[in-house]
Amino acid sequence: MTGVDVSLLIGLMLALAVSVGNLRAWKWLLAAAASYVVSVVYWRSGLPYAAFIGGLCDAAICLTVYFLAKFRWEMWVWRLFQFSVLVNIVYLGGELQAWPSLSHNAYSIILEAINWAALLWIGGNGAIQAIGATDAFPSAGGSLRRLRRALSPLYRDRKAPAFTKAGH
Amino acid sequence: MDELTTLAVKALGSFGGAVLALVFQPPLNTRDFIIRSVFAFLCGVLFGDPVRQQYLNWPETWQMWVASSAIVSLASWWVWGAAVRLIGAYKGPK
Repeated sequence: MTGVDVSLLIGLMLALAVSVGNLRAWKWLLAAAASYVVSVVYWRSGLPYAAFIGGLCDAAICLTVYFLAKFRWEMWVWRLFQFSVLVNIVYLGGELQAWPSLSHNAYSIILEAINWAALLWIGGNGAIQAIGATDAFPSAGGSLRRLRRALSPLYRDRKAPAFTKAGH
Repeated sequence: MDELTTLAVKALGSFGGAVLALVFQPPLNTRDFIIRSVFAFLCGVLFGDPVRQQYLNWPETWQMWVASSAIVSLASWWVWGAAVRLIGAYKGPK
């Protein structure tokens, strides 16, 4: 395990710890962790087209979130992993010399940033929901109320359901 | 590479492109999903290789067949959606 892996593992543990009781957050955190493990193990085994496998794992997360998400904040996880899929496609295309290649350092840094953003986003929103901060609390003071008002749309039900649940 | 394998490679690329399209641009309902999937898959299989040769100028390897079929499939998924929306927008009053 490298330093990056260890720091991500610590980040995952923290995110899991702060969102205890929020099973939806745990589900997405563990899915992201599984995707990271599969793509990293494949990459380090030296097999070809690792970016393809990474993209496939991220696409699987995207589809799972799209079909199972309930709240609006979860749909941002979908957007985040869409970006990750896109980065993998760009890197893979460069590897195949279909277009100018993206440097491996840039690729790794972008993916790390996405992983950390996912941990922060899911952990943060999971924690906010887990402590019940999204429920009504009339005694809350001015700045807290303003913050709650700003964040509250994230905890409403998503705007459009998955196409399988949509009417004709 | 024999003809059947070539077709399988193109079909694989088209399928991949349709899955990618689903990731980036989900359809409105199940009917739209079926129509778009079939359209994107057929476009990828039929036009993937001509597009690779004529416009992309990519070398003739199986990876490029997969990639070009996937790109055509992805683009046709988007084009179908855009066309349906445009036609819908210009529909006269009921």
